[in-house]
Amino acid sequence: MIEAKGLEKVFKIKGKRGNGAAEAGDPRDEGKVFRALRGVSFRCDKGMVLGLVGPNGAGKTTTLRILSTALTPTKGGIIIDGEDYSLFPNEIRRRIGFLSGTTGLYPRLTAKEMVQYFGRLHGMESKHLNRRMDELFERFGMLDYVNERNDKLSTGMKQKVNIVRTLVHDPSIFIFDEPTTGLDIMSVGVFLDFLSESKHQNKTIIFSTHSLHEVETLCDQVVIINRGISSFAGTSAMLKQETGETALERAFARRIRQDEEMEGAA
Amino acid sequence: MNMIPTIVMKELTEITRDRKTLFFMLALPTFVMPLLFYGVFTIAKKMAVKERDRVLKVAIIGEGDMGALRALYADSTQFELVENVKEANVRAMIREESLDAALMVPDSFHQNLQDGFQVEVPVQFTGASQIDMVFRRVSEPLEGYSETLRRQRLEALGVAFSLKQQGVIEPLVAKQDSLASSRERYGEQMGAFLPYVFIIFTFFGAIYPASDLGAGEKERITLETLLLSPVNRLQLVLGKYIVVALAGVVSAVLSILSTSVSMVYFVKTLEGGKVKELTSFLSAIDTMDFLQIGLLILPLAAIFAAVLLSISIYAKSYKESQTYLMPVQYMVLVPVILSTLPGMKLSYQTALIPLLNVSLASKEIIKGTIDPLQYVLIFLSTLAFALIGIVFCTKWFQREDVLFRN
Repeated sequence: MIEAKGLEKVFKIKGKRGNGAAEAGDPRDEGKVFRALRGVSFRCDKGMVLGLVGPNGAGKTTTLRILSTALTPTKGGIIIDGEDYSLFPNEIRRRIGFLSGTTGLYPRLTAKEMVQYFGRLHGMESKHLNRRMDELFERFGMLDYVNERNDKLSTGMKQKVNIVRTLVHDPSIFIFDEPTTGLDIMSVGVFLDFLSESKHQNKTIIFSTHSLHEVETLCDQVVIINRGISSFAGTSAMLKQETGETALERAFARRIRQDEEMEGAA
Repeated sequence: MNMIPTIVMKELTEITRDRKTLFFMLALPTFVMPLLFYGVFTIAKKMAVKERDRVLKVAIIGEGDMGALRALYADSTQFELVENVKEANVRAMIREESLDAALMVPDSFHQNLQDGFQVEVPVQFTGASQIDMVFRRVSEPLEGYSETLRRQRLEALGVAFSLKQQGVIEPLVAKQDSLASSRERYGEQMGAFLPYVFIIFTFFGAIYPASDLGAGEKERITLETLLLSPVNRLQLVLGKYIVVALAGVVSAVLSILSTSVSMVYFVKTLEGGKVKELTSFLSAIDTMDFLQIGLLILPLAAIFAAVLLSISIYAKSYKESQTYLMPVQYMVLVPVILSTLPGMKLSYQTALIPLLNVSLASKEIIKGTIDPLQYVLIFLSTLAFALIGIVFCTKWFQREDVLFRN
């Protein structure tokens, strides 16, 4: 289980105005600082898939970066299995596997060397690591190219290397930031198969996406993040019911509008 | 858990598979000095020989009987006398290279010589080329003729013996008797040259690995994944840092070895009286001296690695990193150039200035006059700067605004 509790993140703005995320009239833009997150809370239990959705620049990536410990929250905490681990990032890192659609590979390493490197960085012993790699390479049908350099691989093959790199230390929590963005159909397929398999293995999965179709078919729970606030947490059915819409796309758009109207009125 | 060896091994594997890094780290320091010494000096030597041996086209311009002067050039195989050249055409002919030189003999030439005066004979030539031997070669016969006239005049004055003649011309001569050994004298020149080589190659050798290990991680979008591994930032920095510094050291050591071999080869190909002195100078530099210089490379590479890695991790991309590194390259050259200025000596003050101290110390080591205390001070102060650099680099690696600038 992983829980985000009242996450807030403030970025100082240097030099040129704005960070590219702020639209005109964005209440988070306070001149010298930008309040990227103003209170994001949600909880994802074991065996659940939580979809993080929201417009561009809403704060999805910042939220996931805080959950994965790449960024430190200005306020709020990260609870894993009931314990607050905010001050122990390495403990969180041991438990999570992070992947995004744009995550790169070391081009001059082979697929095997790449996975091996991250396995070692996670403190895995050689014997255990080799066994785990053999198992994963076979499962993902990669045996033919594990000794090829990453820069020689196709996009789909690279995505598999990245998935195995995420899995090698057997994390219990997966964090995916727009994992299907920029991927071709075959690579998207590889990822979605992996996601369903992980769900069946009782893993905790949080992912951000722009595809509401993915949300509807894969997620047990949806969290809408808009202008740095988690404005909705529930199932897609609940979102449709609350907004009175039958299509998820329309329900999502209506919810965003409602949030902005409420904030404008306040 | 100590992850530094894992990080070092991975980074080494990567950089040794990168052609650009291999070129700057191994090929350039190994081959540039031999190419410079062998190539440039061989070409220069060949050009000098060609210039020395070619037949020069000379014209003698002036009124009256030029018999004696003409004979000086007409009888020599080194010259070809060009006849009937008008004074007005001389400049144009020299410019278009149909003439190498012209002796502009004054009207009163014979009369003044007969009267025992000194006569100036202007020699016109281009004089724009670096290897221009025209004036020297054309004036040689004149000097010979002048010597004959001098002897005749002195004999006419009753000074017959050549030794006595020398005494009349130069009654007193100051003779140099320097206390500096040939090692000190040549060390001052050669020792000023060596730091250029190894300081620059330490820097160049480290540039590409530094860009690759910092900005390269951002550009390939691998940095975030790396930062999410349960390894503390100091270990991440140290792993990368060791590889960048090592690349600088390898490059510097190769450059020193190739320069030394090239220098020995160069001295062996030289002709003339200075060969013996140069050979004794080179043979006086022993392994211990090289070790002393080699030890100075370690903290030097450590400083460069910290600076380069900090810049690289700040940059958003490989290209941006290269842009930031351009002015740093010039900053590295400044202390090296300063060390060659007259009067710039190694002291307890200059021993504390990074780069300048290493540059001055290597000169003293080559000269064989290094003060052991100053050497230790240089080593310690450079090491202190390197440690400050590592601390800065680690702090830089922990700042979100640096790591996620893009």
